[in-house]
Amino acid sequence: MYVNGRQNIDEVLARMEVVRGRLDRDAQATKQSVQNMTDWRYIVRKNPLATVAIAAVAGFLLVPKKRQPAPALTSADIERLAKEHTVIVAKEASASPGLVGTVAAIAGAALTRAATNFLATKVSEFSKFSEREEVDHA
Amino acid sequence: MPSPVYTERENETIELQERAQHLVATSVDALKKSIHNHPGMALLVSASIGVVLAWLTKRR
Repeated sequence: MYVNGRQNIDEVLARMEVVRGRLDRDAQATKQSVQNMTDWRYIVRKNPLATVAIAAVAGFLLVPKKRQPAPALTSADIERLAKEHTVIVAKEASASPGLVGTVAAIAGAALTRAATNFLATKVSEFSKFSEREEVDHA
Repeated sequence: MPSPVYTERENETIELQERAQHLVATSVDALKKSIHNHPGMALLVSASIGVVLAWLTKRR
């Protein structure tokens, strides 16, 4: 309630001090959470079994399948095929992305997911902070 | 009314089940603790296990 000018100013200054302190705390918390999110050790400690399982699956996927050796043709086979005119030169099927491509795709998807989660967290924190500010001003 | 031998066997089974559950819970806790203490080593070891398993199943 407004009593005189001086009291009103003091109240506003005190409230500003409180808001400043809260901003500092929020900034520190945000900094800490960003550091945690980028620290792989924190992620492993938070989800120990899941990360270990993912590492094992990644290790499993790193090893490529054994290629089947091409059937060996004898000279008699070649001669027979040449006589029958049945030698067909077929175009090779489109090349698969390969090991590096697969790993890059997995890493890209994981990075995209992490970035999306990070942005969603920041947006929700910002909206909460804005709501608090509005409540303080009201 | 069940015979005393049956009751004794049932009790033994229940006790064994409880001990097995306790053993599993203790092992999982120990695993989590060791992962917490050595996260890099845990990832390396599990990835190595995956590679060995893949080698045994795909390349042999």
